Amino acid sequence: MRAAGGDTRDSTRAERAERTLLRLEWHGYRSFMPRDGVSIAYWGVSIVILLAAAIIFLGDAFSIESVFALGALLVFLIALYMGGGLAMTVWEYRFKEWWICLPVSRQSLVKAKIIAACGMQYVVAGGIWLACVGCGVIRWGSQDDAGVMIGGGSLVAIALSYGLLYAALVLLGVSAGYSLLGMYYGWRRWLLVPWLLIFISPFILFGLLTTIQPEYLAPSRVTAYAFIGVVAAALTYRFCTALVANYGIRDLSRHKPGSLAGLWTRRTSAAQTVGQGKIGTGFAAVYALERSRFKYWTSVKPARIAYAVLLLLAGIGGYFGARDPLELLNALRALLVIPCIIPSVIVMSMMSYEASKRRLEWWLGLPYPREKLLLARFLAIWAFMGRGVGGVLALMAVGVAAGGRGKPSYFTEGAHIGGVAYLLAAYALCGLVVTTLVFAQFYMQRSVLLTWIYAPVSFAIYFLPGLLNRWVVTEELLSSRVGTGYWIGLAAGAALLLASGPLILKATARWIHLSIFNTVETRQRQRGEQSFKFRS
Amino acid sequence: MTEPRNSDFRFSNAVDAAKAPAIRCREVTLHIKKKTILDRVSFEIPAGSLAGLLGPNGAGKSSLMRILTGMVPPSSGQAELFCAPVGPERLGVLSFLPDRGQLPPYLGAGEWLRLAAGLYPDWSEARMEELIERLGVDRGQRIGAMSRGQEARLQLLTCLSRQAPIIILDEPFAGVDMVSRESIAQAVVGELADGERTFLIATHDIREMENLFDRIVLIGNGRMLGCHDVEELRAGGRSVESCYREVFA
Repeated sequence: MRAAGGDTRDSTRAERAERTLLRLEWHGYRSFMPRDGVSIAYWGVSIVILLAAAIIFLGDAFSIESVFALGALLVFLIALYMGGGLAMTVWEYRFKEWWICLPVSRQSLVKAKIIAACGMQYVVAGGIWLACVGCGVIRWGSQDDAGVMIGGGSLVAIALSYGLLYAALVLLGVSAGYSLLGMYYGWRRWLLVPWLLIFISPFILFGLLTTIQPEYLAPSRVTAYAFIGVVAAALTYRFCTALVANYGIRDLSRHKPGSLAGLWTRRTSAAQTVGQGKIGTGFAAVYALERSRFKYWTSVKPARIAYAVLLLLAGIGGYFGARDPLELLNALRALLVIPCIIPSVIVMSMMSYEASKRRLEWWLGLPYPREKLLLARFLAIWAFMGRGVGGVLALMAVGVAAGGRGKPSYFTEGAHIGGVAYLLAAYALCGLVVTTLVFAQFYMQRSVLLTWIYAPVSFAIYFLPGLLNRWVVTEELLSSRVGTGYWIGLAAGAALLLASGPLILKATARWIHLSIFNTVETRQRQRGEQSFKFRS
Repeated sequence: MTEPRNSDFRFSNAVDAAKAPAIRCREVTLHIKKKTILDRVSFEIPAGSLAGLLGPNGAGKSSLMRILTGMVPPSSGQAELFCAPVGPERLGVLSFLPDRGQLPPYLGAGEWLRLAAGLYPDWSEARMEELIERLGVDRGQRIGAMSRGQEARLQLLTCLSRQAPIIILDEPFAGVDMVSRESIAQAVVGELADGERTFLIATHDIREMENLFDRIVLIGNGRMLGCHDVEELRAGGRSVESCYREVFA
């Protein structure tokens, strides 16, 4: 009897500890919640901006189902990146040791992290859902003008089915993203291959949204997807908690803050990252410093495995794609969206990480004009990206050559070669534009107003490659000869970039020092202050 | 002194003005968002001296150093190095060690030093070799795998291997073990021998350095709380530590 009473007390205590842990995790998100007049206004304005962007940018090319599907992609994307971001930043989390030593099971630690992150994401998903509903209502109200027939009943069905899908995607995205924490060491690094494919999948799917058959986006189908999503989310959640609790936290507890020491050996070879030859001086040395980072990361085993898999897939894809070259080019069109975006993601994460690690002060302390420092960084990122994409395209070309032997080749016709050249040039230019615009973001830090004005733009620029895919480099364009007008347009775009690039670099250089203050520590402190004000 | 290769970052004027104060701040104020970080801070550091910038945590020492290195422009007032306004274009004049700063962790110490020789126009190979010996830096060790003390010594080595006339060290002892503290302090003493360099060292831990300071600048809550010549303090029967305690206790 006494033993049973003791067990009950223990389980009550454990439950109370878990509830407290969840409250602790949730506390980190409270300052982002719509909780008072100002924050409700921020959320309201953000939803209105999202709604306006949907109306302006998507137009009638997107059916209302496509708009909700786009919303679903956004929800998944944000949840996935939020989960992934948590897994990437926890290594340098200052509360990490305290967190690991809390007297609750590791499963409970992980569950509390995921559930709190999901709570935040449900609010974000709710905002996106409201913007989509708003878009549907406006279309419904003006359907005579738009020529699109939507019944009020069907709009409700669409909204409800997609709402259910969004709910499933939040848990799926956060759990899938957070599972990264268990993939840093040992055999589990092989899991990075499927994880990376999932991580980039939203961008590929975005390119396919407008070409997909409408019946696949109908409410009945979406309800079925939502149920599949719920099952997938439950399985991913279980997988994530098991993987992170059993391996991730163990890896985390042996990590030395500030070093990611487990990822590299204690000794270096003579010239692993800077080469054997003369480094050079001045700008050449700054560029060598920037390039050394990528030389290091491309020399580590998980990165080499991931790249080898990518090369293999490109070769196989080229071999089988040679049978239907147009289909291959369409696939390439969707895939090229990724290298357009990756340099921008590298810029943002590098600057933020280096500010938090106080490496930015060493970098800005180098005796060179800041424009040169920024230019070296820009060039090193694009040289890395160019080499990576070049290798993949070369293997794909080898695959096409092998698969198309003895058959009349699509790629020997001048018009088609022009189409392929245009495709590659357009995406390269788009990627350069996106990266340049991301650099401009640092200029906007100079005032709160500019930051707020630029916030939707900073988000929208990641969808530029998708818009290029939808409006410029179309399937029709690739199946015919690329007209002179297209080439002139491309040349004009390049000229505009060449003219504005140095100006953007100069403006960015002037305000880049503000990034020093934009550290994780500062943000956490500010959030702490805000949450304190809220409580007071 | 070697001529820097980068024409945008010359420091010849600095040496011409040897009689002028190496560092001068006049009413320097810094606001970040709505917060006042520094409030009308004014002081001078003569060339060739070793000055301590002393104050508790959060006093504004690092912000003041960021202004002196040209990283952050002051909201108002003037900061000068050898009578010329500070700014990114004056980075050739000074060598800066940031507080808790980190070097690229994926590089080996030797790789970093090879890069640094190309990056800094005023780099001295001979001085570097001497300091490697004195500070016990292992060239083959990866920076990411170094202890805090080992990395602090490598960072100091990077700063002192340059021939810049002003050395600014922000909390060089933070989180560093006793042996490394001693070797850092000794390296600084060694650099003082020629009397050509000016040191400004920010610290809230004054014991290692208090016997070396020629001058101390006391700062608290972003305000200037005193600027003293250490010899005069001693003549008046006070030490750096007692002065610090009087102001901040």
